[in-house]
Amino acid sequence: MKMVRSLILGSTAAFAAMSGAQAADLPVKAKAVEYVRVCSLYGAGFFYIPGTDTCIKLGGYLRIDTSFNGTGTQDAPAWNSDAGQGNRYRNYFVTRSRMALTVDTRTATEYGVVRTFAQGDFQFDTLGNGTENPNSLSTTLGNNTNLLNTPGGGYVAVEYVFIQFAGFTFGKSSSAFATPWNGYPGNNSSSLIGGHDTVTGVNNIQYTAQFGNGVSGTIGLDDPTVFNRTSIYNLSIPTALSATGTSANAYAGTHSPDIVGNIRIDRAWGLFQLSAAAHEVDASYNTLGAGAVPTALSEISGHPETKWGGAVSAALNIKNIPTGAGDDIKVDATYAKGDTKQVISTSGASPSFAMFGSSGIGAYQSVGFGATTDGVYSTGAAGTGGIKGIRTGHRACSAATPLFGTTVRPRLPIVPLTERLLQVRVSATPVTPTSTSPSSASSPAGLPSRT
Amino acid sequence: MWSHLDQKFAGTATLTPTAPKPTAVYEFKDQDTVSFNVRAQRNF
Repeated sequence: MKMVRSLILGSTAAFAAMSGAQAADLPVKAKAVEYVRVCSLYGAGFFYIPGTDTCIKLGGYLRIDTSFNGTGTQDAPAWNSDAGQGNRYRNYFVTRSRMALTVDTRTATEYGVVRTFAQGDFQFDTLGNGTENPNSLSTTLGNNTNLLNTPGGGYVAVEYVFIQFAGFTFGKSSSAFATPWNGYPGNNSSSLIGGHDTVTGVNNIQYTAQFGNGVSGTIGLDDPTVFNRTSIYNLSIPTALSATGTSANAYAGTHSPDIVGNIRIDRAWGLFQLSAAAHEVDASYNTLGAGAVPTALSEISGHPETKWGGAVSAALNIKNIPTGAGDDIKVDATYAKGDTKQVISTSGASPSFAMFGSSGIGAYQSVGFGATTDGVYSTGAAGTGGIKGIRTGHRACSAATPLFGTTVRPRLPIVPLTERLLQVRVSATPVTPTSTSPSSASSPAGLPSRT
Repeated sequence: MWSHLDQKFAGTATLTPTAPKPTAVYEFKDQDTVSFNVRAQRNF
């Protein structure tokens, strides 16, 4: 390094000598070096952007995941699609390499600190994730992000992007309904079912009021379009349901944001939070074609009455338990009706389930499935008489313990891998049956996960 | 991570699942699956 620097200096000197000779031997004035000025107001890692009053911190992580026996990266279990079928198309392992880059800025203004935060993920996955099925790798889909994972390719995912000022949060961040740990009470799986998870951020506006002694209240408006809407099924569509209970999504356009909020007490002993959400369930039309696409008869067929669903959740975190330094316990329980995302949730979309196994009674195979919907409706004499909201509920519990020493932990964040060994999530009773015929009913499905 | 699908149907039915599965008699049954994730990570 020293040698390189002297070489550069040497060539600079040579150029300076040349230009100096052209400029009639005037002395070259060296510009003063401006060192980075450390900003110590907001914790470690901040420095002033030169020439401004804004402090900036660059951060992130480098992460390599390999998931075995799953439908996708970061430990999505084999609970649907080709992996759930266990067929010849499934990939036995799925890999992902990611660089997450975060940019955090703070500016002290007359009216308080303004903060911006954003995280982009530069990543490259196994092509097709859990499947090599030509249907999943179709190039005719146009929006198939899987196809970006080709040799020399990769793509960018956007996580948090928000501005905070005077108690307000604007942008893409965790919902006010979420617990601080989202779907990660102590695990490294992005698919731990049971409870709200917007760890990658949902577009929202929030206001948080601090009442002192660690008590705070937050209200928020979430954009429901991609996160909080699972699906509505119109059971009147001919052959509406697949063999595993799924159907096309018959949601109408978004009319109202989800209204969410929490009350939280955050002290040295831990944290307790109550949160609630209201979610609009509005279907498109009574008469729809296959795939829930509109037909010429749709508009005159009318639509079921719009309903509101909702969810409530309680979360408890107890720190400093006697098993060791840094150990804690996290428990949360959620109940939802017509707002299934708040229970059946991953860090991405809400999955439906279709798993196949062996049969002990001579059938070809066995099957278990569960469709994830916010509501179902059908018209006619045997119809549902409007949208029927789907009820879901769960309890979740985890105990986390850092098996590595606390001095090592900040440097080697492998801890979640060990923490999840002790994590338990128990019980779920989602999805009310909506029809008597097994082949056309929206399935009862419970999906507790344990590690 | 162990995942268990607790479903409430009983008996059997003739179903036509997504290909490549055949139209056949399937038994309704709870299902289990185990997945495993290995991670190397460095924060900066």
